[in-house]
Amino acid sequence: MTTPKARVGQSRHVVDPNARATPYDGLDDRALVARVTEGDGGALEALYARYGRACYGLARRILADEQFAQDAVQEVFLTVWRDAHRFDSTRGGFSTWLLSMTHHKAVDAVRREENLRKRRTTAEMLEEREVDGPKVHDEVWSTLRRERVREALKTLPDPQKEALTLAYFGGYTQREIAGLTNTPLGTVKTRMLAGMRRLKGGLEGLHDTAPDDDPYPDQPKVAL
Amino acid sequence: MTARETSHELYEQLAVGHALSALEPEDELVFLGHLPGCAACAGALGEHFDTLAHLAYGVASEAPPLSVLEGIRAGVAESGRSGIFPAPAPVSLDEARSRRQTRTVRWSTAVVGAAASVVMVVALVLANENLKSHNRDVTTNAAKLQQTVASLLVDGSRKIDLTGASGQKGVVVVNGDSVSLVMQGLPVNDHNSIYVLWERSRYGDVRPVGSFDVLSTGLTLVNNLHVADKAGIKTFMVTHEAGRKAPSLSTQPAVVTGEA
Ligand SMILES: [Zn+2]
Repeated sequence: MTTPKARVGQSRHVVDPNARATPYDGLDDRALVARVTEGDGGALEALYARYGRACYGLARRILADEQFAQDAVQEVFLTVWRDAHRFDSTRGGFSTWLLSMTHHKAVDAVRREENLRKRRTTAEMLEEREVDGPKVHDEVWSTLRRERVREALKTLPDPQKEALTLAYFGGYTQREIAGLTNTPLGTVKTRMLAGMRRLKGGLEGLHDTAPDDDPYPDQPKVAL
Repeated sequence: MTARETSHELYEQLAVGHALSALEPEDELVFLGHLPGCAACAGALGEHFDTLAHLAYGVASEAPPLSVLEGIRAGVAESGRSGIFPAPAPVSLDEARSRRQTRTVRWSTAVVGAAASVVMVVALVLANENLKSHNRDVTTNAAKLQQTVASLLVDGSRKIDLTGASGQKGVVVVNGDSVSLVMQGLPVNDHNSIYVLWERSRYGDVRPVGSFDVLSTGLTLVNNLHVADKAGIKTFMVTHEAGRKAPSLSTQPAVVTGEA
């Protein structure tokens, strides 16, 4: 079993969006979004405290540039401020909406700024970087979830994983990926669909994992 | 595969590309022309966005510098639409931290038992319709909660208090690997939703212990639940989920939580 590696310590100029407790902490995302639509800036800050880290981590990974990533995250939250009424909770969770917007903005930026584009390999795009941050409960949980995502990604055949990660973390279009991987465009599309379906299945549960790959060997396996 | 299915597979491929923002402009136009009339693609798209949101957690999250928050504040101020808005009722720092810790985490089930086959549902409702005063309701319910819990305790029982952000209270009683849950103040669920009790072990993995209905705003007693590893339990949580089966990933914030 892999122990969650929460990072200890905090660099001087970095603020942890989760560091302060506020009266908004008792409200769920939907309630906060409702308050944002009514002009409550405190509710927007509460959403930022919840999801700023995840958004910034994603933007940095796509953009490979701190300043552009900061601009993207700021733009995302100001879009939430303007357009919170467009969030439809019946179509999915707020974090899904927010991360999808962050992804979209980061990909837009990486395409605008061609020099940001690093021709990174799939492995480099998923590489672990040391991140300063307080050892908070949420960070431990983020680490656990990260491990689960990585486990799910590992189950994908390499060509599928490559197509998905080049698109998601690299911001490449399907045609660009076809060129980069010297693969017909139709094959890239097929791989992405197959990979996405497999990834979704992998994230629903890892109970089909072979014993040697069991990430939680200490856990008794009891069927409910 | 029929020709029609084959042609729809093309849209399914485009849906993935669209979710990834990876379509060429001409493909984007084709997909956006198809999407409004196709429930299958709309549903698939929602699932792709969910999957990709998980993928976003495949990278390390990272605290942005303070300047980002300052920029957001400046943008909010410039927008001129920031109203004077009363903050929610304050809570103590400890309480707030505890709420945040439990609420922001989307618990995911680990390996075991993928959840869906959750047993269970015995709901005993102690009705309170004879009580006229709300305050008296609360007092009486609190007493009934304690009485009900007391009736479940035996030698060696462990009692874990659960609390929620809106005053909901509950108690989990663990006797060996058998678990009972007594809840007070949960809203009645409709026919399209269900409450789920989750356990998180000290190893960090999470599984649904059972699902149940709340039939009255009084007390609800759920019996005959079982934990996988009684010694390893760290935390219990209840969520209110859409659908009639416990999902493998909790999709909703915690209603109540408690540390064992
Ligand atoms: Zn369709």
